[in-house]
Amino acid sequence: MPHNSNISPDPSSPIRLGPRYTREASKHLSPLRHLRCVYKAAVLFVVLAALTSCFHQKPLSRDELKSKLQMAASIGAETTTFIDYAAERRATSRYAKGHVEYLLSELTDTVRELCEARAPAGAETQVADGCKELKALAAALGQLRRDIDRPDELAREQHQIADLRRGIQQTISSL
Amino acid sequence: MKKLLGITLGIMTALGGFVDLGQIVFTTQAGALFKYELLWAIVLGTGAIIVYMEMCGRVAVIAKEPVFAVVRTRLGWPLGLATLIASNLLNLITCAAELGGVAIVLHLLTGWHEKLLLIAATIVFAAMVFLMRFQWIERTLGLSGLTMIVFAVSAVALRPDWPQLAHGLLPSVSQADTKHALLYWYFAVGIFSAMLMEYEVHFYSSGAIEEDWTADDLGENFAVASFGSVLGSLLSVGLLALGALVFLPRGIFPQVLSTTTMAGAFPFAKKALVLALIGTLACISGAAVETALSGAYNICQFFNLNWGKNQPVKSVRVYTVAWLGMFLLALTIALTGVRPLRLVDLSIVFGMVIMPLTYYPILRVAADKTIMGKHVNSRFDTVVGIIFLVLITAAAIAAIPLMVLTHSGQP
Repeated sequence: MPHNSNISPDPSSPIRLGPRYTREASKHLSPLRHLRCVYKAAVLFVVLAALTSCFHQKPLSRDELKSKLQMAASIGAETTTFIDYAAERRATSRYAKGHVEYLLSELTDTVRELCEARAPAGAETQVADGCKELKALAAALGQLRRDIDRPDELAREQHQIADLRRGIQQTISSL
Repeated sequence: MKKLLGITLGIMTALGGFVDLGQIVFTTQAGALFKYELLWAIVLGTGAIIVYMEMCGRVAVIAKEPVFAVVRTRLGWPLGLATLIASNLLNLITCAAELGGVAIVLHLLTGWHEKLLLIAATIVFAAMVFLMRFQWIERTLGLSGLTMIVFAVSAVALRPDWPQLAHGLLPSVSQADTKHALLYWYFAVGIFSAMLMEYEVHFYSSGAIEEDWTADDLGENFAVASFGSVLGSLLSVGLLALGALVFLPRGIFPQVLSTTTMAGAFPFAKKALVLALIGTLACISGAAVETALSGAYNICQFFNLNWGKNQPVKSVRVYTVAWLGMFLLALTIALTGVRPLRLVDLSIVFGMVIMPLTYYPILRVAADKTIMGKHVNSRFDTVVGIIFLVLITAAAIAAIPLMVLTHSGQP
């Protein structure tokens, strides 16, 4: 399984419970689950402390924006290549599913970083466009993960992902 | 005949254990960005690791001093302690990255839950280290790593442009713009660092003592360090070529481990993919075990405590607790969900920064006639050692600025 992320284009992703429910539920936790909660809280604290001290929100530079879009375009290019590879039955089913999960997870991080960042001056449109395109690409990858064993669907999805990649490339060129 | 068999086995083990997660990632990414232009960094790194691995083995055999005993005596207590802490933090980060990588590959092979696989793999490694003798741990992991050869075969099957590849032996000074120039040097430093990771020499020199090498084994030391590294570096060249042949023409910058394993089987069918996954699994498993054990070796050697995989547990308690602790801490880091490739970036860059502190004391002891006697460095050895040390120091100074300026090598 890829690492968790806040943004998931997959509607089947786990439901997150609200804080009130969590407080109520914590009354009934076993000691082991308490320990697990303490561990998670400690990890979260360290991560948050690191994030707030080192990476407090700052505007993206044009270079960083370009770089993020290029990483996403690269995932698009890789996915279209991989669809050919999988369609020729050169990948095992487990590898194919796992690989798409990892690509999606990586892309999801890029989506979050891009969409939550402050746009560089004069590039607000490109950030908004890029964000929309990356979300669409992430949704297409989520669909591909479900359809990877259905060869009849692959060509259509490959076409769709190639189109999205071209859109991202155009956004990069406009920067 | 028995001696020859031992040397062959040693070379094959070194070859199979040469590549780790850092090398797989950095070299493939470098090929995807700069085609063959960074081949020289692999050649330079191979030269440096041959020179220093041989020295470490020789010092361990003749002076009976493994790396961290040398570090303590030559750097003194305060700087030595700082080197120990930094080295072990790096070992820990690297171990966590390799464990995370192992879980990813196992997930790709089995489809099972990644975190459960991560825990299971760590338990298996710990049991393996606990139950097996040093030679068997080294040989089992090293020899199974030979399946990585499928990467080199794939690269050859994709027909690289050999003259262009040879052209990569010379550094390219002109890049399109400053950003590309910075990226070029970032990946050059990254490849160089990945080939010289300290844990490799810590493990190697400790292994020489574990296996009771004597002066008669110095020939084997030279053969393993040189031929093993040369053959191992051919795998790295294969990874660079795969980056150039599979990814660069398609505009792909490999960002996940599963991408690089696909490249290892790209011209072939399913079985090659499974072989590439198994090869990757073996190599990064070997690195996970080596980093955990290196952490324990370093602590015991620095504080002059009993150590040794082949000693009864009762007599090496601190050593046993130390490698178990390394596994546990690395597992904890990996379980937080931090991506292995991010950890690898950190370990490669910060590994480069502290590298001179590991290699400088070794050079000094190997060149000291009062300690080494007739096995002291020749003038040639020392001059080559100094040249590499200067390069290592230059790379160490450049590593962090390059990481900051390139946002950890993002194209």
